[in-house]
Amino acid sequence: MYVDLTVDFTPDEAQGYAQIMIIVASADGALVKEELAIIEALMGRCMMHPEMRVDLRNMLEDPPKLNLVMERLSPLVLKTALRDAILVAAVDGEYDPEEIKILKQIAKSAGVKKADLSALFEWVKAGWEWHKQSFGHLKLV
Amino acid sequence: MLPDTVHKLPREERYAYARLLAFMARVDNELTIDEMAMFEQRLGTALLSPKQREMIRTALKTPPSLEECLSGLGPEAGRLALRDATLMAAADGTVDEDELAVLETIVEHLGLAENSVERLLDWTVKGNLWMQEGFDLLNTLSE
Repeated sequence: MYVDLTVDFTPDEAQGYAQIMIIVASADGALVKEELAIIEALMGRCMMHPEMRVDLRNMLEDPPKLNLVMERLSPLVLKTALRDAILVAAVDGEYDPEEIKILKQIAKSAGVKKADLSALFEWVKAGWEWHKQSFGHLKLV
Repeated sequence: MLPDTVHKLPREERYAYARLLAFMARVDNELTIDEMAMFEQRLGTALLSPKQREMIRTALKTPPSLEECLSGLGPEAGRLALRDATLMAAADGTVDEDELAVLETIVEHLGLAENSVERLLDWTVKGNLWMQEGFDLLNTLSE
């Protein structure tokens, strides 16, 4: 949400970034609507071309290999993807062991240490809390 | 972007929700990249069909009237649209008088408390701070 550095990604970087989201969402074997919604939101936020979104949606059934995607991305794109992949992993309410495994692989590839990875998890948790407050303001709880 | 209930609304209401955001994006007659990114992000969350998205993007060029937008919204969809219209209004860094007036009209239409816009704007500021923390984290991550 809000303007983000993902807007400045090249089409290839944006594609790789979104592929990582798809890999994480597919990790636990079950793709729920919440995961689809967040992937669509993230693709929208980086203002990806509609045709590229169609190609990426088609990958949901058969996600690409993580290593092949990561090897063509810069550390900055990988770090941004890691941050948002944690959001994707958390969106169905819990972190699946397979998702954690993938997140650790991305962190390693991006050169992110364990303590920093924990800080990202904390950041996601804080965002959750912030977002939930809106339901209170709207009297939707 | 975060877990939401927009995607659980009936399809017609999700469409009405997106139309209201299209209206909001054009209130100040400017469409900045920040607003566009926010708009596309919320459109994604609504899980609209590609055809509906095309229609909504057209609505950005020729926005419907506010009354038309509000008429298609149920109570929950209306509240979520109000919240996200607030995010849209603040996306370019300022909320001008016209945008504020629209938000107040939506509040009135929904029968919400008078201070609703103020509360949602405070909430939006907190969200911006949270996003900034995310950027700061990315900048300091180990390499």
